[in-house]
Amino acid sequence: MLHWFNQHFISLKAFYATSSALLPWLITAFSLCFAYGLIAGLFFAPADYQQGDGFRIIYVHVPSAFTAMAIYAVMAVSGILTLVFRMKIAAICMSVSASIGAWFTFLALVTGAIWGKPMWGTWWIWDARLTSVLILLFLYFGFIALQSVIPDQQSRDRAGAIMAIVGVINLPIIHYSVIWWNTLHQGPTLSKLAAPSIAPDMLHPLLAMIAAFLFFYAVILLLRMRNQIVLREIKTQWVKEVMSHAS
Amino acid sequence: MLKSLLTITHQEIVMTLRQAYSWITPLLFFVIVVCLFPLALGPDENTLNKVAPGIIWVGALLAIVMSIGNIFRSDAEEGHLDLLLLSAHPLTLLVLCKLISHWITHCLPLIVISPLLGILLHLNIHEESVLVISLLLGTPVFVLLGAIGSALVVGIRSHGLLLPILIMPLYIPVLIFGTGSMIAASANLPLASDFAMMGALVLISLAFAPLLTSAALRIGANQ
Amino acid sequence: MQTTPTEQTLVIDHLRFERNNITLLDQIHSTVNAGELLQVRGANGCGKSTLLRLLAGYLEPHDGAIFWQNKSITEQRECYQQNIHYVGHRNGIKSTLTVAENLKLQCALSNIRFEPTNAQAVLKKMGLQHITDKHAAHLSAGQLRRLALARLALTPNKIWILDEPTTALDTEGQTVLNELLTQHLTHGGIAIVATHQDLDKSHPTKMLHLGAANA
Repeated sequence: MLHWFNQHFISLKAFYATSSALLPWLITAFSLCFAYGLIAGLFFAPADYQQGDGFRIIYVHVPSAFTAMAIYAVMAVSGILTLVFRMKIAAICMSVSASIGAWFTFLALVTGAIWGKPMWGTWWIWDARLTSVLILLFLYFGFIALQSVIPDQQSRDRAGAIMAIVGVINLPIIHYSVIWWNTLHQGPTLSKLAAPSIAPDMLHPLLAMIAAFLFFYAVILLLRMRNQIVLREIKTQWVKEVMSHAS
Repeated sequence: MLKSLLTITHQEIVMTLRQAYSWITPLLFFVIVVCLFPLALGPDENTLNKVAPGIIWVGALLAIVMSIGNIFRSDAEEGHLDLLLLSAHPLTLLVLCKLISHWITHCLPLIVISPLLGILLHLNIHEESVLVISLLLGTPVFVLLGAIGSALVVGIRSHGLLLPILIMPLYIPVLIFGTGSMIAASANLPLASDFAMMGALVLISLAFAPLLTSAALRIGANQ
Repeated sequence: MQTTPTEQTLVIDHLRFERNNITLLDQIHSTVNAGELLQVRGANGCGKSTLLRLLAGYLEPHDGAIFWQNKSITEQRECYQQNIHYVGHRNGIKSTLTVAENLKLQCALSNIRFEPTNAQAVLKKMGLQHITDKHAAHLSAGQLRRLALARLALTPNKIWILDEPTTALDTEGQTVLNELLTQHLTHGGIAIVATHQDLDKSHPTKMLHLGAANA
């Protein structure tokens, strides 16, 4: 089992080969989910009885928020693999995920604000979810800043791993404390972005969009990981061979 | 073993006390920051009383963020960190000794002076006592989490404001429950839940922070 | 001088270390038996300090391993590091403590009872007895180096790793260092010393020349 993993995923060279086989499938999956989600969500899903067509931004907002959190989880798991098993591939996955995650978080905040303007009449409300997402963005910034100042590769990987682990232990605590804080300060009554129950016609495109965003992350992740692998292994024979084939 | 660890803690405290500026500057910083707010917001008693928890807690948070970066700096510069890694004691325990002494020398003075600042912001006796208890519960978490960040940046030459960026988001839960307890106190609401949450935060950070800090220090020795 | 490898042998096996894709050390082999001194020589920048930090367990090799008691040190880092005295470029002296307090702290770190009479004897040996209560911040570079070396005499550790220990030392200080080394080696200790100076010829010495590996 472990041997099989090593042959296909753990060693950088093998991962490079496996990922080039995986990429077309992932791109196809992304295109299908995205096309269905976008068309069904924007044109076929019924308008919300309260929010009208304004609610349709949910098909961007919720998937990006979900993906942003999922990416942090991926980073934390990769962090543990980096720290405990010294896996280079996990370290690469962790460091290239950070900026992707930060962009998704940013997207979630911007779409949240755009949604908030017609719904609440203001661009920003200190709603528990939005606040948590904002703090998630800070955590991403911290991680990226830390990795950008450490010159040595190995130390950069491991320091980043510790930061990712600290962040993931803290995230649920931060999330629940923000909810607590929100109720304490009597937040606005209309604080729920997602309706508690959602019609299947609305739900299916949403799920498709979430899947599409995750596939998109996987595609970008693999592309960036492949770049990193080449950069890190630039002096090895196999990279030289791959490069000579490519040119 | 316990005796050696006590000696180490004691020596740490002695070292800080000999360099008076290292613990007096955060204290002065705290006092001045808190005094800036009435000047910025106006002297209205009700306003100040309302925002007092936030001011004092953010002031204490910033003062601790300012000082926590030094916790391993002189050790790294003088090469003493190398010796800590070779010690017969687990690094985690040595880190704990350092954190305890840091809390005693850097946080205890803040807590002692905080009632005085509370008077400036028109807190009543009940609020004052809640302030002191909440700071007693909250500042250890600041030190424990700050130590992780401090250890992560220890090998980096010019890290400037990196440390605050790393650790301040992690301080948010303590800030929320700390100020929450004071708001509850001023509204005469029960406080047990806030204090219980802060106690839980202390225990969680006590479980993870020394381990992660010593792991980070070993990485720092890598550079 | 070849002795059979024992439990107390430090084996350096095909060590390779790189930093930022530049190979600093490659194919380093050696064995150091109990009672032997390994002198590491080589031009500036050839990786002497890096090798010493690898041997002290601060750094991890990218390839190859270092074995102590037949076990790779990366697998037993915490236990292994307790056997080590490391004197690097920085002395590890706390400048806010006095000379005696620095020794006391060292004893506490090694979990050894601090005996004032023993500490006095060590300081006398190092020629520091007249400044026992002086703050380390006020010491000269040579005195700081002597205080750092006093650690070697104060607490018994099996492996000494000394990076340019003679820096800032006067001839008298070097004599004391050689005496310390002789005593350590005759008691079956291991010493790894990076230095350009010739050490006392009487030590059972192995040489390790580091070439310019950064190709």
